[in-house]
Amino acid sequence: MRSIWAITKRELKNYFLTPIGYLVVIVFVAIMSWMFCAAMIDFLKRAQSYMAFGGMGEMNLNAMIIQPVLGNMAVIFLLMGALITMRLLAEERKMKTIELLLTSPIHPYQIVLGKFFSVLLLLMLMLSVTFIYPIVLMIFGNPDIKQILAGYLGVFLFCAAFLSFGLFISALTENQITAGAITFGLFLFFWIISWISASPDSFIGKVVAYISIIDHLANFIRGLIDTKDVIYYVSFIFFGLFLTHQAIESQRWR
Amino acid sequence: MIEVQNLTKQYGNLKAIDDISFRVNQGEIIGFLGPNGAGKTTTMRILTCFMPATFGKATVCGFDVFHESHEVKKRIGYLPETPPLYPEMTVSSYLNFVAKLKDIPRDKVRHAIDRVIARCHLGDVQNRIIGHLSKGYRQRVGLAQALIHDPQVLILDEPTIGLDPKQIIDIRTLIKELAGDHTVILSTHILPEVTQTCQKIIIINEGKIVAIDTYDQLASQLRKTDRVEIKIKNSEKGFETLKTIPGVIEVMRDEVRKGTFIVECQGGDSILESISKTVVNHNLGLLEMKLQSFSLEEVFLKLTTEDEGGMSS
Repeated sequence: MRSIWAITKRELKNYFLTPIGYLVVIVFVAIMSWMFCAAMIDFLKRAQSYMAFGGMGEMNLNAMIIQPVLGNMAVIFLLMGALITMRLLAEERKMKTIELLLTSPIHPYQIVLGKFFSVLLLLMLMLSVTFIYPIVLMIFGNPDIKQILAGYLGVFLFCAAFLSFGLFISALTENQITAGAITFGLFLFFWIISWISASPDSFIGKVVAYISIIDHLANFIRGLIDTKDVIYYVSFIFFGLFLTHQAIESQRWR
Repeated sequence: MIEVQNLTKQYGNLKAIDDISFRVNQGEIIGFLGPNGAGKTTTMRILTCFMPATFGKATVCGFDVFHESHEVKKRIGYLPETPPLYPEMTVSSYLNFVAKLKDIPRDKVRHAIDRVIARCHLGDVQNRIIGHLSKGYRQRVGLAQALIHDPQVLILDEPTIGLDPKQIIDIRTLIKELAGDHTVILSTHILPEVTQTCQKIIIINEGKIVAIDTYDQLASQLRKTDRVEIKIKNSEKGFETLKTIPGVIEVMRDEVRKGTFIVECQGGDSILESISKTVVNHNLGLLEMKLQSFSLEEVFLKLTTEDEGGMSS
């Protein structure tokens, strides 16, 4: 446990010893803030027009601000996730520090978990900064807090699933850029895979919808924590970590 | 301490090491000598549990490197060819990280770090960023990393490569200080290195062990005849006299230094004695006399170029 934490801490520190950590957090928060402001302004405009012309539209903070912002947050993270994971193991191999890790009295799974926890903590940091928006909404209105929390849980699981996969890709090569490009491509593919399930009744449509990582997020964002979706993400994460472990082990046999 | 039996490692069709066996006793410093690509690093990587062997068995401190790798790793300090450093960390935070990886008890970490910093003379740079250090310092940080958990066995892959002469001497002195309580295996392709630091030499070429012995033994086994360099005052008379001594095979004049001869002879110490006696008795004016020893380069070339050196013990 101690060595896992040592790896996590070193990795996390490394994000902030190099510009990459600041960069990712700042860019992410800036884009999210922009989106939140846009959603707010849109909301206010509609509110004004309803007040002026007496429209009958339903005004809902959750549906009109939180839900679209959380949905976008997942997509923005999907575009940035590769930047976080690409160096994790590729750099260890490039700098030959993997020799230190693998000849120390620790198990490869401890390396995998240490690395993964560090990106989870970075993810938590990124998400917790964006939690300012719901707080602002709570000060000036009364959104459904449970629904917001469910949405955040969903986004967290969604991003964690991606990160576990990015970690695996990073274990396959010693070139960060290669790892980054492959990870980015795969992430995009997982995102657009749902676009094909146009006819949800067909068998293929159902399979694709189940595989598609983003469809499982919809329930969370609507405030619904379904065991099926939780299991989907958790098993996705375990699968990614398992593959990472196998990738590290297999390199020793070559 | 270390026992290697019939170890073979194959990369595809290429045999990096082929059926090698040797053993190292506690407290010994062993030099692993061979040209580039001979299989030194592969052997070391197997011993440090970095990669498994294709065939064969190796044990370190009585633990199998494959089945009990965790126990082996606790007892081994390893400095790979490229020191495994994180360039963005400071020396002391790096050592702190390694201490945790090596599972040093929490209350002893500080002490362990201070000990290796003192031992590797890193006091001046302990708060500097590794990426900014010179190659010599980085190598020392790498050595500190290998020593931090006070391992019984130290495996150093080319510890002096790329260093300047003073740094090389520093590292060698450090390694010599470690002998006794630590068992050390170090690899090198620089020949004088092993004569200066190691008690025993393993010469490896194309994945096979060519010779295992002490330097003196190796040299004397190869030496079928002795060569004596002798300088005398009365050189004309001396040349004739030297030739008549029984046991002397050939006398050669040194073209450059006047009065100096190279005498090739057979018969060990007694012939040396009779040469010196004859020279003195004939009143030739003995100025200088010394036994020429084989340089390690000669030993090495002889062993690695002769087919099947045939003298591994």
